[in-house]
Amino acid sequence: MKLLFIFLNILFSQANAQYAEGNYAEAAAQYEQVIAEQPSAEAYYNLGNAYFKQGELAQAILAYERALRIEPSYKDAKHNLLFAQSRIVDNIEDTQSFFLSNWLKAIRNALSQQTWIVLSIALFICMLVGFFLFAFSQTVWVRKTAFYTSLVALIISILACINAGSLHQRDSERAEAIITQGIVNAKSSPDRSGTDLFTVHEGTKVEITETIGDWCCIHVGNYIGWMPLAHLERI
Amino acid sequence: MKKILSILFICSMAFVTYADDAVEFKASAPAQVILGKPFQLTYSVNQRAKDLRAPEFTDFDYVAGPYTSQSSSTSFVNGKRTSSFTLTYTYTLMPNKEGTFTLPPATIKVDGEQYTSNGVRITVLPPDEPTNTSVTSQQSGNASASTQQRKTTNVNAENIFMRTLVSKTKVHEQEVILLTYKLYFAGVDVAQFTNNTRLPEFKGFLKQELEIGEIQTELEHYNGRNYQTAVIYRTLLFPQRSGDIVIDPAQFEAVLRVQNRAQVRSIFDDFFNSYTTIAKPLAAPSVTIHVSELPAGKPAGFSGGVGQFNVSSRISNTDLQANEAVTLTLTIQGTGNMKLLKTPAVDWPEGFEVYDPKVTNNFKNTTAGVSGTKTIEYLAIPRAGGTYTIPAIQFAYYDTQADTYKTLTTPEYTLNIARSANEESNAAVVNNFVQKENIQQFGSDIRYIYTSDQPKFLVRRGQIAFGSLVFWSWYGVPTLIAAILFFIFRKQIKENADITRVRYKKANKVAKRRLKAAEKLLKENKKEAFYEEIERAAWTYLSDRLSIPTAQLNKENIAQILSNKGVSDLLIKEVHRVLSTAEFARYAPTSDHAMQDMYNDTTNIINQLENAKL
Repeated sequence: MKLLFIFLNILFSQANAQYAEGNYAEAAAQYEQVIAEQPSAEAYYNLGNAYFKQGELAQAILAYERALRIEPSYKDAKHNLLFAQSRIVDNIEDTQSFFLSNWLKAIRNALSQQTWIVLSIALFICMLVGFFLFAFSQTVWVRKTAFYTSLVALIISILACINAGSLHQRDSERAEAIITQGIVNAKSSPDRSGTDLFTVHEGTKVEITETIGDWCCIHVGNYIGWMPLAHLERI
Repeated sequence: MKKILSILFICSMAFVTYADDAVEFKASAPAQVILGKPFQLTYSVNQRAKDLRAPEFTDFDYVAGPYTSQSSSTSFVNGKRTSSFTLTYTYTLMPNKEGTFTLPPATIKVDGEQYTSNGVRITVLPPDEPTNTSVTSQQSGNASASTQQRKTTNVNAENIFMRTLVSKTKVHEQEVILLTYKLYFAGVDVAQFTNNTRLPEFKGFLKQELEIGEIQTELEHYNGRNYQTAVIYRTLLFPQRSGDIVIDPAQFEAVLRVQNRAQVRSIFDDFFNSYTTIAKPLAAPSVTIHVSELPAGKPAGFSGGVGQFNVSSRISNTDLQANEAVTLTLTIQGTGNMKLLKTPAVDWPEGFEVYDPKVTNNFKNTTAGVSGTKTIEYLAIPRAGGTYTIPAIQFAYYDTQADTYKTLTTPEYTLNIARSANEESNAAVVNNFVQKENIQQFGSDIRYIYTSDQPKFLVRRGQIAFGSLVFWSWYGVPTLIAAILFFIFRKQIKENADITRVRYKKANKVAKRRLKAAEKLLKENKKEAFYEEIERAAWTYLSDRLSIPTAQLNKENIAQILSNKGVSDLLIKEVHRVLSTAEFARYAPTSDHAMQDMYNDTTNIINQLENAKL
């Protein structure tokens, strides 16, 4: 295990050196190797940069998104993701979803799944301690404070657990995807003869809701259409 | 005239071939002959030859031949000597039955080598029928009179007329029709075929004239008579609307040579036949074409084509880079209204810059319609990388033979387009496509990569997987511990509570026992022991009653505790006074009376405290 870490450390440093010299393709390949052994936000972030420098917008966005999956508070990754997204063609605004669900989603995505889990467990233990204080304390104010504190701790713990579960579901479903093909026409049905409904460009984030064979149903903004799975990659 | 032409033709052929020293062996005979009338079959060869073996004339009666004749010529043109030689064998044959027959090829030997001629196809027409009664009587009466009649015949509608021939009278829209104006004549000498022609306008048709070239005559049996016929005008017509369309009569004029009628019979007659030319106006009758609409159910992408077509397609390249041109070539081959075909649309994928297709037509007008190829080159330039599919091109047309719509499909093509090597041009293209309204301002570039000699991510952090056993045990184990602790604590408390309750209940008893002991000591007048017993009785009672250990109680906090329990201030003061007195009196000289008071006071406060609800 120790040996692997030393190896990865060397590989990562080499990739950084390649990047610094402008050999972005080689750097990207080495970052991919590092990620294959040990996925991490930093390696994804660097991979995203290497792709961005090669002009591979879709791959860069994909890597930044994956970095942020692991570490949602990664500021550099957020910045570069926004920067890369400003270069893509589609400007999709989701006007349909309710503002409250957007807020909840934003709160959920603010912390990583691991952080939510740790938070939930910590608060749960807090709740237990508070319960003890409430049950066995002789003093009235201690009992009162302990009761309300443990109640709040329990509620937040449950919410954190729900968030963690939601993130876990998102990560295991991998419903979100990035368009990798330059330009794709979304069809009305999962075959080539379907009517062209709208066009999406490289780098656009879409949500896969259904797959039939090689085709998937995507939601992007307020649009729904079918396209071949080969034209996009799941985050 | 035809003979002259053919001789000229043969001569010219011989001329060329002789110069090339190639052997040309040819059979020739009129294409149409009349039953019972002899005709000549000739075999000509441009080299000295021998041993002609003519086929067996099974369908014809042999009359005479072969007569051999030969001719040679030499000419100097621009100092070059060319010579020709022709050897001709002539047979005279007589048809003995109607029909179309083929004479098999003959063979001949030239310098010991055997050559084969072409076969000859001959149509035997029936002889003239005596339709005209006057002619019949004259013919039956006197053969010479008939000849006379023929020679001086009137130029009437039976001897010379025009016919309008159409290939079809019932057609669909756009279906090709061949219209022919044919001159029929018999027994008259036509000097010139056309003059002052007035063709109808062919309203409602698209006209495509066919070249006729030199007018040639051939024999045709029509209405019981054999006529010389000549095609004067021939055109393809494509109906442009449905309904009954009338083609107006066409006006022609033929120049005829007629023997002067008012001639004086003299011996010079035969030598100096005097002729006059007259212009004979001829009208080709009108004809009605029934044009029906194309049947319902036109397929999508109907090209407007009516006829027989075939399509094929070709693509220049399937693996290319962005910004590299790709050409899709569609070739439509067939016969029909080729000129009116719509150019089929190609459904290029998004991201292709499409240019106007280039159309090359290679048409030939034939009697069956306009045939040939229409080649359409579609040029497009992909502007982004990826894998794209050019869908099949649909070419729908109306098949006149099958009387149905047919749709032809070209294969699909899959293009693998690599990203352009030229990054700048690619970026420029992307920028061209960007049409955002709300442009966000960012730094000019992305932030630099994460660099660290000791990347922290390499230290594997303990991960708690959601829903795993570890995850749930993080909730379960503390809960379990808490539950166990809770029960232990509760048991302890319960037990403690039991002790205090017993002590609480027994407090009065214990106090009474101690007071009794004190009373005994009072009687014995043991002052020190008495006060000690009194003090202990008081403290023990308070401790038991308040469920607070004696060690935690003292004079300072007892007032506060009692006050919190809701004991009246008067009683608290009394308790305080008793405790103080008991402590104080142990070491101070006191009277018996004081000891008795102390005993009473203590009993009193214990009784009062007993009544107070603690």
